[in-house]
Amino acid sequence: MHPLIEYLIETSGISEASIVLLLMLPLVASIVAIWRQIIGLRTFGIYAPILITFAFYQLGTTPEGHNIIQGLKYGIALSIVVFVSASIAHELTKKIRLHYLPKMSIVLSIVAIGVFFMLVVASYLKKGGFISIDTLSILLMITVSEQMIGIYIKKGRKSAYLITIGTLLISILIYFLISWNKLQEAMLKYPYFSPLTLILNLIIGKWTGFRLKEYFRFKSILNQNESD
Amino acid sequence: MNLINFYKNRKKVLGINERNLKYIRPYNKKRSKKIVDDKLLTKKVLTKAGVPVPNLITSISNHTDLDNFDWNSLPNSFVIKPVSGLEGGGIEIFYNRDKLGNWIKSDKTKVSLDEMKNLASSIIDGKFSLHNSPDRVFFEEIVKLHKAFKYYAYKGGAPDIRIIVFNNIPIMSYVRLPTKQSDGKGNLAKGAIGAAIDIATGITTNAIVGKKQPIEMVPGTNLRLSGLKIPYWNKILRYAIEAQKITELGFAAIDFLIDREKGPQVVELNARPGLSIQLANRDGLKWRLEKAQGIKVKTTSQGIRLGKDLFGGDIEEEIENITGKQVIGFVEWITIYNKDIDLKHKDKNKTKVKAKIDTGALVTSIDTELLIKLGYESAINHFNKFKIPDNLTRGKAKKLTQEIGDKIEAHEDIVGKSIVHSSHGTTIRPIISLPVNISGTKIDIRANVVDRGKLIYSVIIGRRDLGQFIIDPTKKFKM
Repeated sequence: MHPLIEYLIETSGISEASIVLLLMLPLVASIVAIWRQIIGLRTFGIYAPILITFAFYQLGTTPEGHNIIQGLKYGIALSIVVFVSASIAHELTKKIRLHYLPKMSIVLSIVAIGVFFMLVVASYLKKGGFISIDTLSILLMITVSEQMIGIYIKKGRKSAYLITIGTLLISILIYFLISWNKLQEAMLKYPYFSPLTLILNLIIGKWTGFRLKEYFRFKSILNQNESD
Repeated sequence: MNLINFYKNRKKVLGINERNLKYIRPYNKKRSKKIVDDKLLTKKVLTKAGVPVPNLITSISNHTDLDNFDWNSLPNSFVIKPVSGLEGGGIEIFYNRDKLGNWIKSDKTKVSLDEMKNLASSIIDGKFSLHNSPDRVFFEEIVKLHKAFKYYAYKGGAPDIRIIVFNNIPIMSYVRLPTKQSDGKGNLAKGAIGAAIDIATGITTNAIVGKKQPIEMVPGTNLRLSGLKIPYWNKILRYAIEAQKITELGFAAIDFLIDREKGPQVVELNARPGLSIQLANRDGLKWRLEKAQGIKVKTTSQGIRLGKDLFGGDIEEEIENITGKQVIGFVEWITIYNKDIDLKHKDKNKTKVKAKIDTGALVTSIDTELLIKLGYESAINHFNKFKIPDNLTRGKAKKLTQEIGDKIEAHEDIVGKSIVHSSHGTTIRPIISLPVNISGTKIDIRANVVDRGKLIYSVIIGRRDLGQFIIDPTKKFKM
């Protein structure tokens, strides 16, 4: 462990998890940037995947340390409940044509009720872990559902589902990465590595090449013969 | 070979990253974006510059005004739009009003006063604006469908013509045609058709439906999507350049509707043009932008001329688009497929040969040796069994044809026989039908089989097989 980090944790009493998450944040944000800018897959902004990643991480945190399987299990379960109830709420309210904000409020309420029922079912089935589920994670996930419904309204069901799946996928990917012990140890040992992602982002920020996805999108032009 | 093409084509096409960083950021300044992102302001600025726009009826800025709005003050037909809407969201066109006060859309669905108020209210709430920020509603006069588009527009949905203008030069264009799938809207993502327009002539060329699927005919008809002449083409180019000049939007997409009486009208300017226009045009924006960059364009007319000269299609392409026929030269490479094409090994089972396109001959001829190579040996052997001499008289040949014609045709590959006259007499030759590809068009030719071993071309294509082509004797043959 780097002496500065050691001082913060041992002497000042700041939790190790907080330090790890803070140091990881630049890396997480950079990965989302690459995912969108270089690969070209869509997500709900840069903010949602980060929130979901940290919600997963929180869910995997137990008094005995981090449990990656628990985080994944609860995270996916919670995401499904949130996104399914958000879509149901949207489909239900679509017909009656409400103003945007009251409608969104209804959607969030129905999502909250959905999560509530999930907890009821979990306690009935005596799933101990679910009952101690972290409140902050629930709130993070519920807020993300607003962005999903926003896309739903503007771009339609198909896009909303595709982007939701894309967002979840990248979040899970990053979740695995930040839960990786070796990486956490490395971050605590070499904390100055974290700001190095700035350079990476400067390069991505000036990138004018094709996104990977565009090679498929423009395939018909790229494979054309000179004479055509 | 292919990789080189791929690389060359890659250099022509504009991707999103490059569009944003190299063109939108430096050329579309905040001030210009503010004008074009506000359709009311755009209307005002363009009108001042003498560029025609659909007439504004009225607008509503907030909920209080909406509550006090007199809906009976609207004419029976109008278009309702969000002032800062994105991708055509929230736009509805109403053609009439019934006795109960319901407005009628083009697909005959009715919208009640309450539903209309709801639509207006959700627009004000920002349902269709960027980042859902509060917005305004406006009403404008409808644009009456121009006669030229009568059979191209699904249920009265208006075709929308887009010109991309850069540095006062029109560089690429297409027209978006609403379809049944797109719900009468000109949105490609929703299934509308995008037909490229040749900048030089204003005639449509290649078309796609949805985001990339090629399409040739207007759905449900035999009407070709290519060859449609856009009315007022020069005026459209002129207004597009003038709209760019007045808004100072450097990299701009200018969208037009054409009114039956009033002609072209600018409906909106877009500071973030989509890239699908490249797929419709089968060509990239990047090389065009790079070519247009840095040229000093003094007048609008010069901009139009430059656009036409630099980015217009050639005449040959134009003829192909109007007639639907391929223009070919005097000599062409043709691909002949072997008998019993093995689909898995397509490449191995075809032969490329130089063919003479001969409008002086009625029937196509093919060399015996070549045909054997293509796998028709048994047909040749079958025919040779008859030992027909090549110095018959015309009468004798005719008689012989009647006598043994059916026997010759008994072989499965032989579809007929023809009487051939040459310097040393008349003879009978078998006719074989075989699939070939001439300049990208696949046809079945009926060729008589002759020994052409001493001749330059092992195949000549005769008139009977040239119905789908137009022959240009000056067209250069590419080795």
